[in-house]
Amino acid sequence: MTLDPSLASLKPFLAKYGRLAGALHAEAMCARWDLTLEAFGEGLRRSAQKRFAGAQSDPSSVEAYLKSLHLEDLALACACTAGNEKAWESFIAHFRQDLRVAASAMLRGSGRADDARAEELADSLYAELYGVRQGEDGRRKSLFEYFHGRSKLGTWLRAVLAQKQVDQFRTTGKNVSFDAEEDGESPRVLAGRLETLPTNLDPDRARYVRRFDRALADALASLTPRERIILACYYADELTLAEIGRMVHEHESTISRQLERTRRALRESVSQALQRGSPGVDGRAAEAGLDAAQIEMAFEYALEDSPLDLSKALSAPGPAGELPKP
Amino acid sequence: MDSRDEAKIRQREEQLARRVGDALDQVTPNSARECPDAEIIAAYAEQALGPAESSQWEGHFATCARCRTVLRVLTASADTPLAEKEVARLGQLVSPVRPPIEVREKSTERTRPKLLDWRTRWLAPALGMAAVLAVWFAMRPPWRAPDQAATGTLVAQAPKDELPPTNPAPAEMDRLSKVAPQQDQKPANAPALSRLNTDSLANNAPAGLPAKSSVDAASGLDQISPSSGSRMNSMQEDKKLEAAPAAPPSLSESAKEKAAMAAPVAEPQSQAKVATNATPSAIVPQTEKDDAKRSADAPLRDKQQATAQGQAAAPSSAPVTGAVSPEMQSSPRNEQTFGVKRAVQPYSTLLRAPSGSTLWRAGKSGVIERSTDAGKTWSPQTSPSQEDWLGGASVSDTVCWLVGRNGAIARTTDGTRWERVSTPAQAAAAVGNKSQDWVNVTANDGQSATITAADGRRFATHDAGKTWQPQ
Repeated sequence: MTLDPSLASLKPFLAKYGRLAGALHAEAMCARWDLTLEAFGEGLRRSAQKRFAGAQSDPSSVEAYLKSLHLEDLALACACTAGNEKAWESFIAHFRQDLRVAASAMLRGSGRADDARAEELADSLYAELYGVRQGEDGRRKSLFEYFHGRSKLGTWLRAVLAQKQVDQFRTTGKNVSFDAEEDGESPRVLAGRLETLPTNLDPDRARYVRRFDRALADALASLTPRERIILACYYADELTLAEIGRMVHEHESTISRQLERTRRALRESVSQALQRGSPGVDGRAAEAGLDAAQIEMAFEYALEDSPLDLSKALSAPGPAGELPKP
Repeated sequence: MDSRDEAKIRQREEQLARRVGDALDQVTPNSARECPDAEIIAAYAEQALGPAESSQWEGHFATCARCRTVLRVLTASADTPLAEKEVARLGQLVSPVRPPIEVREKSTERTRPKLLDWRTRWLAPALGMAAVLAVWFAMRPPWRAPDQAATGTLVAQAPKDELPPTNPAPAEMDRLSKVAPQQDQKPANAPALSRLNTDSLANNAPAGLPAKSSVDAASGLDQISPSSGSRMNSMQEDKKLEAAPAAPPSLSESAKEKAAMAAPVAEPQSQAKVATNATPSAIVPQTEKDDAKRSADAPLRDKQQATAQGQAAAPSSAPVTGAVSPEMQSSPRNEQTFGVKRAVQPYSTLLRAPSGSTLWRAGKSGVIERSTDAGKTWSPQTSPSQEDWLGGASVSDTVCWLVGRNGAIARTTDGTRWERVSTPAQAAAAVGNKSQDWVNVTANDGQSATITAADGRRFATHDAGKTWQPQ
């Protein structure tokens, strides 16, 4: 799908959406920052271009999207990108304290709460926001150019801070878990399960485990992304139900019920698949269903201490839809 | 199926889910699902993505530990309502009445030495009480015999209940009625200190309104979290400490101050309890998801807080005096007391968000300030109006409403930018197209709010002020 040509550059964009851009320009109170319609329009265009890159875009969708933006924040960001002093002062006045508080909260989570560190982390963003690097055209490249108004400016700033903090953590060799105390623990190696199986046991073991893995892959494919993320957050990240709820905007009781349902669904799905057996497909021989005792053995063997490889299982997008765009 | 089988099934489910969860963490995201940029993550955190887009990115987050960590860090730094335990913990942390609790092992917050805490809690109030009692007895010794010859001056200074049976001069009677001891005027249903807009009500609104506010306030009791109540009381403690170093009044003023303080000193427990129970309507009802949890614990935690506060006596009397009954408000002596207090602060409204960490204060000439660290520091915010703010309601750390004079109504939905909200046209029409003073507001979210005019009329909006309906 090619990009809508009206989003490719400013002139065709204003030709098609100029009236809306004018209204949004007024609504965003761009006059405060002496921000021209062209400058603000360029911000709107880049936002729509990013949103609809590779996707179908009809004028009504684009207009609805542009109206949903946080216009005042976008105007401020555009004005700061342009180097407007008043805009920059307003940005500092409104966001500096909040950024420092956010930085402090982030550092507290990593056990490094410290006013000086928090200030350093927050202030480290300012240089990038102002733009210390030059682009290919010699123009100052500001981090504000990556803000497109889909979220509030404050939230976006905190997300940038969070990414910086997490990436810094990861590159210094710390454990992925943000507040982990597992220093020195080597990352778990992802390995195919069959390579780690002991060989001196039940000769049917390998067969049971293979069938179990296939059943599990089918069961996983039927999980929604929400169910998968809850499983990962609860078991891998060891978050509380409340923390997971805050991340995905659900009440913790809802998360608890969803987790319960997901666990039950996984077990039932795998049990039923093992009981059903499988027809011969893709060159594989047909397999008869297992009885209760054999299913029990399959669970026993499969859940012993050996890693599961879910890469293939999770290469299917699940019922939610297409793979996310880069 | 017997319980043993059930237990085994549950164990299987748990094992399976745990393995899957761990394995999800190990999956290497492929190039088709590279991590989203900060804007997508921020939009997801704000629920600004569409359902399909949200679902797609959740599929990525499920297999990307980095993105889940970023989300977790972002959520932790966000101004969002906390879980009840977290709110309770924060309430305990900021309350100077309760002893410091052991916080998360990674926290590096400073804890005050227990000895210093003990002194702060007990010595200062005890010294204050002793000073007040000393001055009281010096000025009005209680052991004077009733048949002592009284000069005109003594009659004028005598408490009401010690007057000789002979009729004093009418002028003296007038004076006596004005200097009647505070103990005769119990500040029942005194609104809590954190809602200082009762001051503005005393000066600007009909006498009936404070009672209405108290009623509204009391009805909001079971809608606030217990720890916000405790934090409210802890803000009262903070106010005590702040108000303490005010300039000492003149001698005649001190007599009036003593009278104002006498009842609270004599009945600290009931005062504190009343102050606790009279919830300002500025504390907006919690969201549905939090109400059931928090209201269940509200009475117990509030009672505990009231008892603890009651034991911290005299200095509490000064700020508690500031939150008084309608009868007290109408007295010119109390007006003067208020005048002394009001000169110190330009803010008539102090609002606390449910999380407890974010507060707003607003008042004269449109001033608005916000704190995101439970009142330790404040930063000014751009106000959309120069009118005096008279009331407000904070729904969350980012949503807040303010109302004030001459039709001033404003709201913020991001905690930072304030925008003017149009006043109900019906209200203006009813008062001959003059602008109405709005004295109170309750709100459910950034779109829905109910405002109360100085004449008691109420209007509600569900579309952020585009339209209003009379109530």
